[in-house]
Amino acid sequence: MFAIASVIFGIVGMLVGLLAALQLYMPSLNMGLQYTTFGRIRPLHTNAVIFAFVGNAIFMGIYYSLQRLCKAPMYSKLLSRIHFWGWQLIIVAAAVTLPLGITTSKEYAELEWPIDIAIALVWVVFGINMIGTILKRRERHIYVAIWFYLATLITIAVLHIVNSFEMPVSLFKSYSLYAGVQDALVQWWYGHNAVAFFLTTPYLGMMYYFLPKAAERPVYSYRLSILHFWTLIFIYIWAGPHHLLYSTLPDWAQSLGVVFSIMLIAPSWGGMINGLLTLRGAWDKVREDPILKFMVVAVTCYGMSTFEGPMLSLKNVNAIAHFSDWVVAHVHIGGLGWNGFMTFGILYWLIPKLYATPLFSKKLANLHFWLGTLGIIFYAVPLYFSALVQTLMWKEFNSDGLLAYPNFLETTLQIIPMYVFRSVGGGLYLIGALVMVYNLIKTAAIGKFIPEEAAEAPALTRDYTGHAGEHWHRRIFERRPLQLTIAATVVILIGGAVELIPTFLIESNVPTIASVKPYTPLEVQGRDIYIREGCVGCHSQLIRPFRSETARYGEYSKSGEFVYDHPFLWGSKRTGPDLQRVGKKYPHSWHYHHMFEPSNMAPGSIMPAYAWLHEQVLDTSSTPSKINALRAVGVPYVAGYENTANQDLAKQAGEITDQLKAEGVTTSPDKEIIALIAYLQRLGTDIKMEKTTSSK
Amino acid sequence: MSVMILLIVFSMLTAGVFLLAFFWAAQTGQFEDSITPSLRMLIDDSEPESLPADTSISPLTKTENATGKI
Repeated sequence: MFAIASVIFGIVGMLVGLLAALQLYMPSLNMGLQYTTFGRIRPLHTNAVIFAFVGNAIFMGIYYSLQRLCKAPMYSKLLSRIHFWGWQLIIVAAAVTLPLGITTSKEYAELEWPIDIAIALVWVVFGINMIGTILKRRERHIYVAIWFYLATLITIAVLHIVNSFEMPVSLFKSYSLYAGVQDALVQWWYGHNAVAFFLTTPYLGMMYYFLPKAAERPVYSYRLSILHFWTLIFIYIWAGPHHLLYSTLPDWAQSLGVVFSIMLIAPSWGGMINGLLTLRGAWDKVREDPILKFMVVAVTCYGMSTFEGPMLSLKNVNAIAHFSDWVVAHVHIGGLGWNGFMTFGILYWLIPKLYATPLFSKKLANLHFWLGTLGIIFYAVPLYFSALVQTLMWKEFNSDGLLAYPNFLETTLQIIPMYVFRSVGGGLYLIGALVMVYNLIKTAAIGKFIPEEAAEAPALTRDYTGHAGEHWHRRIFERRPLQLTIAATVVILIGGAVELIPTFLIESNVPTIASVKPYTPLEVQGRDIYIREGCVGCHSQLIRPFRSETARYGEYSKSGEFVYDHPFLWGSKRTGPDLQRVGKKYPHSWHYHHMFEPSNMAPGSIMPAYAWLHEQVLDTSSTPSKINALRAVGVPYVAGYENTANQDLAKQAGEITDQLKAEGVTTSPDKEIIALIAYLQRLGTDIKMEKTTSSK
Repeated sequence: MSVMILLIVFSMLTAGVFLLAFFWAAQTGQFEDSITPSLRMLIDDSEPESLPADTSISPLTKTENATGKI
């Protein structure tokens, strides 16, 4: 079931990805609907491919291999079913909420708090099922793949819970407990480790099972697999800050991230070497067998990605690559190559086994392989070009010491051909996947599904005499899986609560800037519109201390400016310009016209139109609960302010509308666009107020 | 940067759990045998037992599973 789900959502996820890619040069492809704009479907694409496609594939791989490695059936069929249906429900919830703009904006953690709770619960069910199976195993040795699965289970639980600490405002909205630079750090501690423990460790575990099985050869060096497992999981956790280089994160934290990211090459390549050398002496098989072709390319892409990643973590490389398409290329080599191809290889091996019949067409599988490989190449290479062209243009100065390309749009127009190529690559990849779907359906049709294989292995002797002085732990916990799991969960929750409450009450010791004040109620509403529309997917809000950035955007960002940003909105990509100091750069009417149809103000712009903001009425009934929630997470609104907040909101909206009137635009103060303008015009202006010179 | 404390504590907690797991594994002999596991996983219970013909390692005996070892 997990296999089928993975395939279905794989196609869905890739389709959404292709739509997003097309929208980057044909922004009107959203068909004028707010639900299908790039900003809203980008997270739909990432969530679909990560949690629906890869997620279901992980469960498929674990449920199949764990039972066989433990020589025992899954601990509980009921839990297996709850796990499956629970997970699919979560995916459906994501598919509904994300296009509606219900999002936290935190990458790979966009799903709002009720779904976060559901994820935690389903994950616990999965954990109980997995640990129960391991404890009831009839093969005493715990194969290395199972260690990878365990690492995944435990670490994802911790990461998800800590990053999801948020204060609900309503059923569909919450504010991150953390703010600004602190939120950034927690987010990327989570984000990078999601890559590590969701996209890497489970797949390494699956590689250690399915690759030897498919090649009919043992792993090259079992010792190496043990060694690289333990080193991998220890080093990976510290690499998170490499997403925040040259930001306002303290230097020592940045350096820590860099060093650990470089060290990570060793254990990662341990995995690659082990995988590839397993095929030594069997390369003739690879030539004939599409399954092995997929797996070899997957492992190779894993190696490439885990070299490129550390290189991107070097500060001097990062200075060029951050916010550019290079990161997108890097992600997709890992995603399309490692995750995608390994999944395809496993599916081509597993489905015939499950249906007791050979694969319907080896030719079609080979066709898929070549389509997919070409797809990866056409995806990544144009984006490398695009990244280099764009960042070098961003950074170029002419001989007068001024920016050579002061208009951001000039850099965008240069790379549009690359975006066209990239979408061709993605399209090829998707076609390959569709070929696979056809092949697998035909295979299932001619085969006969084997729901369960009879497996007999004698039970591990229960009453072995332990060594003298057996630890009390063994007696009470290790032979009682349920108690163990409950105890573990309780311990984790206590630990979490102990950490949460003091953090709650402690004031942040990020250096505060006196002139930085909380957002006004209207600006809060505007910020939430910014989050809803997914603006953070294309626009960053972090000016780095480079002359090319200060010349283009203004004074570089200080950590104190973000203390009230729940959640932070630094962004990861500059498809459009950075907005951290866009406040008061343009008149209100500029923003009004630009949001209505961007190419009116910026001819050739690839930004989609947001005309519904000018029609939709702002829902101000949520203002009091928003103020309360923000106060609860540490923003110093005066007690009782929520009662008068809407009056301030109306007043500020009126001022903006009057100013718009003076600039020739007639609108009414209750429209959403007014709130968004208020927010945009506030950005980055707080520290400008300190300056008494006439700079503007 | 008070959140660093939170993150370091959680990371150390997680690392600690794995460290304990490592000690458990080492003490219960999980690392004693680094040769047969890679071969044993190739054998399916439902298929007639066969090892790949071109491995140069002697086949494991069938009694290994029945008694198990600590």
